[in-house]
Amino acid sequence: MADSWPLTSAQYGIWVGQQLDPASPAYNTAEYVDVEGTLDVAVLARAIRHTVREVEALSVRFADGRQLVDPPEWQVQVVDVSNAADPRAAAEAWMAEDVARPVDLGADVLFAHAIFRLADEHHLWYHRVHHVLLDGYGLSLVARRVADVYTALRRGETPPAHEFGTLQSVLDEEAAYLASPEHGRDAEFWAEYQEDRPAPVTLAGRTGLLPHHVLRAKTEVDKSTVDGLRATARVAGGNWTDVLIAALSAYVHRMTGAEQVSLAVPVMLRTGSVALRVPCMVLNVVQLYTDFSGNPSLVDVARQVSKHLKRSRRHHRYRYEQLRRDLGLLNNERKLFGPSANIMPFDYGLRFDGTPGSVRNVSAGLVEDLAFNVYNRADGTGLSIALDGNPNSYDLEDLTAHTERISTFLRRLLDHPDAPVAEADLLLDRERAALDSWNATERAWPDGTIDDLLAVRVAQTPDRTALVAADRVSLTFAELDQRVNQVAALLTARGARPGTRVLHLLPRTADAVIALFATLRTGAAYVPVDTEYPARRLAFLLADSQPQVIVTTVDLAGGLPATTASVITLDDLADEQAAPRTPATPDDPLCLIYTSGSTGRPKGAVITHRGMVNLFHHHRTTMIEPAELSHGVLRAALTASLSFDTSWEGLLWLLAGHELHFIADDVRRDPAALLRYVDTHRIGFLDITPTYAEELLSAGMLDEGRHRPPVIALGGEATGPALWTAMREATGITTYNLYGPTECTVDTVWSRLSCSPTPIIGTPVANTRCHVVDQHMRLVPPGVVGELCLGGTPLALGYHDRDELTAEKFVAWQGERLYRTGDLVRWRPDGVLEYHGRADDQVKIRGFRIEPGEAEAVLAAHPAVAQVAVVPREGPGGDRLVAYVVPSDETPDAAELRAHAAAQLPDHLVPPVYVVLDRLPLTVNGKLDRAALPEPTLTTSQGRKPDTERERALAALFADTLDIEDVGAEDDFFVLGGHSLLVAKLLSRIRTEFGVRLGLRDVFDFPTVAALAVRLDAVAPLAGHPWEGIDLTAEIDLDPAITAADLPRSGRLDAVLLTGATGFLGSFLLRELLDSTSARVHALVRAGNEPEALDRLRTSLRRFSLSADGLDRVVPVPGDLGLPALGLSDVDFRRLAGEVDVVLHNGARVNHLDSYPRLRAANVQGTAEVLRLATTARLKPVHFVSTVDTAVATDGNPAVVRETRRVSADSLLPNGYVASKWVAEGLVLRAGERGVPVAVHRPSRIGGHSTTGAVSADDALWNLVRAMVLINAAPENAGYADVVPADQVAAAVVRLLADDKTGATYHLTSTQPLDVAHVVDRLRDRGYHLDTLNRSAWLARLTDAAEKAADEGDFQLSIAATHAPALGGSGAPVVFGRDNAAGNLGVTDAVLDAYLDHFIDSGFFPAHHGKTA
Amino acid sequence: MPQLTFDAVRTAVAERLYLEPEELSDTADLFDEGMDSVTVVDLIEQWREHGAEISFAELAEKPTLRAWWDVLRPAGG
Repeated sequence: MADSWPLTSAQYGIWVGQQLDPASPAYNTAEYVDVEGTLDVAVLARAIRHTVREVEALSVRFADGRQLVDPPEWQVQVVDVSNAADPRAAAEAWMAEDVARPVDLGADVLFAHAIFRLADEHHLWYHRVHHVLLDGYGLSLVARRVADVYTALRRGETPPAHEFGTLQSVLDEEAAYLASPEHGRDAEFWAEYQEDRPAPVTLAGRTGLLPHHVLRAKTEVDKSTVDGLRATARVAGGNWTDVLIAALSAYVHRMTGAEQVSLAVPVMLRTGSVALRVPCMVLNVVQLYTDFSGNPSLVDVARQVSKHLKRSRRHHRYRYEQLRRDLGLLNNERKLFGPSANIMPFDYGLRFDGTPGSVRNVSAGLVEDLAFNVYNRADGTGLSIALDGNPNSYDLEDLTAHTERISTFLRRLLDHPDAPVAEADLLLDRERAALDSWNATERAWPDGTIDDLLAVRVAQTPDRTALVAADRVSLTFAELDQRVNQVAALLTARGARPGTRVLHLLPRTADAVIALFATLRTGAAYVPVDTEYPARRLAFLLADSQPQVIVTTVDLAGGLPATTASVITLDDLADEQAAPRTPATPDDPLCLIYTSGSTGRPKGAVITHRGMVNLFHHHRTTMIEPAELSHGVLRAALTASLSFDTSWEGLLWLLAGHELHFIADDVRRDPAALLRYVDTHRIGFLDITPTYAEELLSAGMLDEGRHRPPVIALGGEATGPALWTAMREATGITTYNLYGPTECTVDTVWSRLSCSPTPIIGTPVANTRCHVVDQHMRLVPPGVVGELCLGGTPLALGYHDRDELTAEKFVAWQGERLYRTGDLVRWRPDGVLEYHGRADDQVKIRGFRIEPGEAEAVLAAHPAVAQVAVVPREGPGGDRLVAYVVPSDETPDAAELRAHAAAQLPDHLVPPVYVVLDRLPLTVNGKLDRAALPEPTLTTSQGRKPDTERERALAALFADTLDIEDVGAEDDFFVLGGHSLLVAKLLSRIRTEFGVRLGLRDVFDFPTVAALAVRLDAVAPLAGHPWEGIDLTAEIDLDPAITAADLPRSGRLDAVLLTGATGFLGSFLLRELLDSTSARVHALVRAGNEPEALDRLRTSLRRFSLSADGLDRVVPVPGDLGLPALGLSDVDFRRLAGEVDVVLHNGARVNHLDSYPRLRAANVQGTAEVLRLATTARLKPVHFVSTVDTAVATDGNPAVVRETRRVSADSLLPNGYVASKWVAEGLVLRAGERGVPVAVHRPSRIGGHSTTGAVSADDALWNLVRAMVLINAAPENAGYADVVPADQVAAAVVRLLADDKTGATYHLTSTQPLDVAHVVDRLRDRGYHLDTLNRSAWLARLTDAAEKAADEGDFQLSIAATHAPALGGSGAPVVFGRDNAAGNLGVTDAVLDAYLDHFIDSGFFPAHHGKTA
Repeated sequence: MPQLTFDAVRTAVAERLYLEPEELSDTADLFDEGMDSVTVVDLIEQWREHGAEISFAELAEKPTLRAWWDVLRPAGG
């Protein structure tokens, strides 16, 4: 015997497992032999000791991955339990304790033997051994040998020599195999078998941690069943074990719905091996897949099993541990095997000197999930099945139910082995009975409609407050009823009656509720449409629902598409005579509620009165009346939109006599505001989604001192365990969980959170039945996950005008009509339903039902999109939709796609995040591989940091709303995790902090801090100083390298570099250069390429009514003033520098509301780059277009502002643009000091073309004049405006350039400033009515009008208002000296008329009205 | 209890292998013909009823009809 051996592969697997969890006793295997008859215990003990000495495997201990020979000291224990009340039980208890003791592979004795005396002639011989030493076959060899030795000893004979082989021979054989080509072939075989197989399923539906012990449930299979197995085996041409395995896999298939079932099949590996005679551990496990896709019978499946086991036999030696490694499954959630089918009946004909012994298994070792262990029965008349389960995944009740079901199912399968296994009944009788009792929900309610309920309520409590609405309307029941009658009469007169539909497009006022009940009173069904839907959706709903009447307001009526329906606006409700009415019947439609459709078409579920009345009585008895008992009359809050069926939660409380508060939009969307409302008004009932509940909790709903609503209903989406616990534990609040698809009248399953520590959906509501079925619409046993199908009163009539879809979802089943919810649920043993997700793609996000297909259909229609998949993903702010886009030829822009989607879909369906992919990843089956879709990257702070006061403030709001650390200026709100609920939160914060009300669309369109800041700027004046903290004088810092030095000049005028050619003045300069010179014009334009640049030039010329002739003399230069080297490559920069003769630098970012830092890059640094170009290769004169504002001080000016004047930085107008021009001018003058020929041109206010009037739309002055026209008022002392027509300025500049006039500054100002009062008079002459108001009154009127317009989304007046301070005011007008510039520039009356004509013709000024308003 | 004969053994084995007795050669490796451990155990149990006391290892070691008959013969007489 050697001193030590290595481990066999099988041993190694066990050894590693034990090392990973040394405290686990799970690797102990044990059995006992039941010996009834004469037994000499002492001799048996001797026989055992004798045998153990012979078995090499039992003489070792383990160290460093080897087994060292070190025979232990040990004893056979003899235990007398004959005096116990139940001797066998006592022995089994002892054994259970023994098997549960962990052993140390390095130090302890790894096996044990015990003989129990149950009675004189009844003994149990217990044998426990660690699985690393022996497998089941090894145990049987040992047992057989003990029996033989005992028999010999008893007969006084010498025991025959043992025939055991050596451990070494087994190791040698294994080594040979590993080195052989078979090993590689076996690896290939199993790898191929694995390919494209789905992951194994388990009966528990989840994987559990490896346990330390195992739960076991047993059942017996009688002889007739065994005969059945054998008979079927003959038909199938295999073994009875194949049939049994087939039956077990059929059970797993039926229980899980998996089309392919994976089972683990342990294989002995003894035949054809030296191990046949060696007690050792060589057991391996192989994988078996059975396929149920062809609807097979038991015989078919048995054939699959038989065929696979035979075919794979040659390859059974390949270790499963190695296969797991090969497939990369280590450290992976995914298992290699499903449940194991342990059918290995050993040859156990044991005789102890004639006395027979039969073997019982005590422990088969570690069970990862589930093991079906099959043994021969003691009396040889059948089989025992022991179902071992992982206690972390199953409890004993589960396992017992499974064993019961398996034996029943097996019998049913064997009764019809040729019938499809899908047809055998899976349910036990007692299970059917349980299901029936859980569905016994019949209740008889009084017959009637919702209108009847209202009438009853009105009669009972006419003077109680019924409704409190956002517009502070408060109505008693009697008043409500009266208004309802009024509107009902009007509706009836217009054609509303049973069989018709009335579409409601109403804002959240009392009228909306009145209209709802009024419609019901006429017998018609109402169709609620949310006022925030985009126009296209409204048009679709209108076309689909075909209402006879539409109820809306005057404001909203304008948004309606053409329709044949009769349109009623509730603004002026005349007194209609009460018209005769036909009431509805309970089975008539109550309303049409639209939900998302998977192909892009929403569908309208038709709910009946009967269904809603049923729900009313159910809620009344279970939720409302219990609350009434404790709290009396309550105030119920209605926060949902009336276009969602959940709005009925609140309405039912109203019908039950409680006060309904119809909460306004800005309160219901703002958690803090809602909580304040709840507090102030002591709200008693809230109906919210779990997501919103979490928001409310964060906002402090359960804080000390806050009023707690006694009743809260959660619904719309699944409630997670954390929220469940939080609400359960909240004292003073009874929380309900309500589940139900829209198609089944709001709620069909309900529960009180107090009923369960873990989330449930509950039990069916009155007159409702819940059936849980598999994909063949067969009932599944309680405990099994299946699709929930609902039957009973709540079912809708179907989908409006969608017969096919209705037939698909509303099916006939065993005499009932059912709705297939597509939700996966399962019954708990206590008759309560748990939610387990969706069977399809539909998701719920924040309570909204979302068919990603709908968003996909809309996005796919965009030209930049070739393919798209919309998938819900977890994000930092909760779940949101991510759109994965494969572009067509164009490159899609996220903001653009978002806007495109927002134009057609309700906000909750608009995917906030967009990821561009080359292609959509597909699975082997050609379906979208969701797992392979990349997570959207959060581009945090990739771009620049916020660098203005406003940007910083916004970034802080973003960060706070999104609950993240850092937000960069270019970070997209949605990519960072934002969604529409968070947008609402952000907007609310913006309103508080900036006093500006932006809209949801604003955030969709300008989703970054930078963009939103600009938007804010456009809408609200800048609070801070435009160049706070910056020393402007120091900014005039010109690179020393920029100097004339000895650079030569060309002295010609062949080529001019013009910047800013696409701007207002720039277009005129370009035109003038082309018309008055013969020079080539190199135009620096922001564009991607030259053709694009040329296009832009052409467009801007046309925009200002200038001719586009002569563009062949233009050389477009795609570049960017804001970038180093003007955005050109070094080569191009130098080439340009060498090609042009003179530079006309007009380009700049012009924005009078921007701060200096934001304008710096283009205006200051750009100027420096231009100067650099001017001093590269050769020296070129630079003509710089500045502005007179650089010479105008805020703190006093001389009588004449001369061209030589430049104010100090402190006296500059607090205008970022002016500051940037002042600094740039400084740079130009500095260059001039260094010898560069420079000229500074300072125009005053540039007006439109002197004859055409064409002008820039951004002009502050004309915007103000327009504002005056709109508000019919002008301020007194509006002052003068120094306006010079653009064409005149251009002419002056180009002439100076052509004449090579440098070394001076030129004021291009008006010889005759424009009197604003004169402009107003000219307008009056044309028929405009303009009051003259004092300044403050005028400003007040302007501000008022601006706010009103802003509410409608028109910010132009707001922008004008920001320029108001620039108008005149006290003090004399500034007079500009024009020593250097010549020419007569200015706005004469003729020019003024041209301007006014242009403004009126273009619609910029509204035409004056002939009548008074 | 009826005695075991070679023919009976051949028939029993052939039946389990879904073959005709004539198709089974005396010296063919039965495992190659489709025999597996479960079947061996079944046969052992079947032949035990005829008084044969054989072990799995004995049969599995030399899996041919001839070798099996050698082991079973004493019981067959």
